[in-house]
Amino acid sequence: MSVIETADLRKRYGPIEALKGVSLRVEKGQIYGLLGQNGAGKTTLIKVLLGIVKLTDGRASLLDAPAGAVEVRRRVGYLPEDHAFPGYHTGYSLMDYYGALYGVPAAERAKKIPDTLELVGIAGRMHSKIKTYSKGMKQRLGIAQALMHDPELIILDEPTDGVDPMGRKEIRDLMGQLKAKGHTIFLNSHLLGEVELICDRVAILHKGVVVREGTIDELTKTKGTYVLGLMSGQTFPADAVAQLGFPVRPLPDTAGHFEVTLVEGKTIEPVMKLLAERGLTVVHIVEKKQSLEDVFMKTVESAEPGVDRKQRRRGARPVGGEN
Amino acid sequence: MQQFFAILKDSYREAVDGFVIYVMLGLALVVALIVGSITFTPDPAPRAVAVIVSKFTAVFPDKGKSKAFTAVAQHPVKYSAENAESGTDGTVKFVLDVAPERAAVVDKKDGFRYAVFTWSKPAGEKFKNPFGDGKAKGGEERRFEIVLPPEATAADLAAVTDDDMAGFLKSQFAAFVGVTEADVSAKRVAGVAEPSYRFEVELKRATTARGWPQTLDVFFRQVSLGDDWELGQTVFKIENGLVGWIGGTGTLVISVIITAFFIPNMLRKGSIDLLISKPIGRTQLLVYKYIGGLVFISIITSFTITLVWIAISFRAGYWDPTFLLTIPTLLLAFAILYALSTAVAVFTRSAIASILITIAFMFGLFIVGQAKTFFDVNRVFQVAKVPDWAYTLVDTLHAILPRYKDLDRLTSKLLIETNLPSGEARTSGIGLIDYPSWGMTIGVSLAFIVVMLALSCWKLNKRDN
Repeated sequence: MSVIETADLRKRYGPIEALKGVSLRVEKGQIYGLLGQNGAGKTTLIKVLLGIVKLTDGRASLLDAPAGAVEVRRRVGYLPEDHAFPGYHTGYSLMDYYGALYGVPAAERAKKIPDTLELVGIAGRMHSKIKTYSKGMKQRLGIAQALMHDPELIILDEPTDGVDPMGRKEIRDLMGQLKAKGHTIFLNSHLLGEVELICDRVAILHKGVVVREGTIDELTKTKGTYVLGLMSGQTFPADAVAQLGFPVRPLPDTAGHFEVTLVEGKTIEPVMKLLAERGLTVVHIVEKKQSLEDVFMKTVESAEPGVDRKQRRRGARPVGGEN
Repeated sequence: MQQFFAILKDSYREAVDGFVIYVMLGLALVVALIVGSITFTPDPAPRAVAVIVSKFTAVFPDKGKSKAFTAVAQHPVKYSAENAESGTDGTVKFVLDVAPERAAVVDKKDGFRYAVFTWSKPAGEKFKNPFGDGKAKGGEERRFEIVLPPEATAADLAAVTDDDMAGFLKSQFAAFVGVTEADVSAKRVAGVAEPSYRFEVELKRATTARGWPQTLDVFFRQVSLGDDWELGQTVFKIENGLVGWIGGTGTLVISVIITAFFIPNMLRKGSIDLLISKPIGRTQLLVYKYIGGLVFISIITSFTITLVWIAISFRAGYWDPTFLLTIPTLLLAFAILYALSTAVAVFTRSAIASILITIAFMFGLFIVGQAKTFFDVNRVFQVAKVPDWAYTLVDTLHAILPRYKDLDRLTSKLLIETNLPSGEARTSGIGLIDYPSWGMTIGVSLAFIVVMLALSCWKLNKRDN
């Protein structure tokens, strides 16, 4: 069963097309990351899924129901970006209010609220007014309210925004625990390192279009580039390696290291054999890796910045949240 | 229902978060305390009876059953009861002397017999538009009737019996003191030459009745406001002042201000997304929030009105629950304004815009109501020359806009009927002119509320939040 499925999803705000045919599929139990610059359409996509904004064209479903259906929202937890909790509530009363809106019975709320707040680390302040909370505490409260009704799907829009490094790790661990319990998490984050650490699959959204999608391994997979270094005083036979058909280049600012890129269907073995035949001693060999950040930067670096909120306001009513 | 109560509770939390609510409750307590500090002391019987009998120039035909009264001042009569005495049980006994005030100004009729004759006959010709040219102008005809004094021949007056006279006095005292006719006994004393008369009168439960004049003190007898304050009339003035003036304007304005923040806060960026992502429809969300505001104000209103009612009933000595009916009336007036405030908030997301527009609208409704009242009177009396289109405009506005002013008038009428002795109520004019109907007033107002909420829901459902 697909937890989230979109097909050729389009959303237009006046003259601005925020989503231009987005097709995604999120399976049960996955942590799915959505990456993109400001204005790429990430939050719009989430809002369409939840029925907060209406899609212009295409199809979107959530837990096998049309996106935005009221009843399906009972099975979804959502933490919006830039959330604003009413300051007159305490952490406890807010959870009680939202829990009641989710239809959680009062007795169950009384039990779950302290447990959930404990899980996110703010149980000690649950009876304090929210207006006295720090940004990080509000963020933790936001996560708690998205979890308390034990939803099948949890949609988190920048969940670690404003949270300190320790807190971020705790939230990452929490997401791991939720995944282990079978929850599906749809994560929208600017923090690429974080996404790389916890997501099973990632989509990169750029100007309303999914430009890359796959597992972390699939996205960070390189064509096979090695950095080789020889014993001091030995010369790397770059010409000979090139004659074998491998692109090769010296690496600047290194002690005579060379970068050798594998060609389709070949391994590094012929190069190693050539070096051995010439009596050269390899003291450094590392397979060069690509981080998710590299992938993201390469994907979007040549593109123009996305549409910002101010531009979109001129064409349509504000929608709230970053996109 | 769980969601409904959750939103009600949230509205309550939001309202009690500020200081205004505590100011309102504090003011309610202060008002109740001031009202509770009022002391009514029955005026001495001679003075009180003199005040009561001074109203006997108004006579109610059909043996007191007529809603309209007839003025018999053209044959003035002087009533005096200087020997009146009151007992501890509120019973007042006196000898009532009746004599011509001065020479009868019209055909030297016996003024007392004429008053009794008028009282004993069915209501005479009802005269429409007595002060104009006989035709109502400016559209629909309005009712303004008085009962013309009957023609009486010497034989008619001679036919008035002692029993008629006693019956007349019982009816008049009952009507103006606010007791039943069974509480009044009147017997003619022989030996007084006509056109003077003497009667032995006894009034039971008189000094605590609503028409009995009182000496009024406030602040627990620290300040005296003098005598001749009729109990029911005074209670009416206090209640009507609180509901119609402080309640109808001051409290409503404060209520509008408090609740004007509810919807814009809910629609705030970062807040509405959280709510819409919950399994609740937008229409439900808005309507529940609207009802939340109403419930909150109804709690304050009920608290204030009940407190004042307890204080004034305790002081006045009679517990008439009709005043409590002003709670739903005030709530309906607030519901009208809050529906508009909600619509403005949904369209503008601005609490300030909601407050300003709603108060301007409230003022506009007041103006339309005042204009309508004036034009209705002007149709009869023609005191000002008004073009027909102005009548049409005011009538149309009055027809389509919520009946804010009418609610005020109907509430006043209710309080008059409740507190004033029947004679006082009838001479106040409530039986002479047309009042708007409760059904139409409530119906048009509810229709306005439904239209405002429907517009708000349409807008909220239509917009991308």
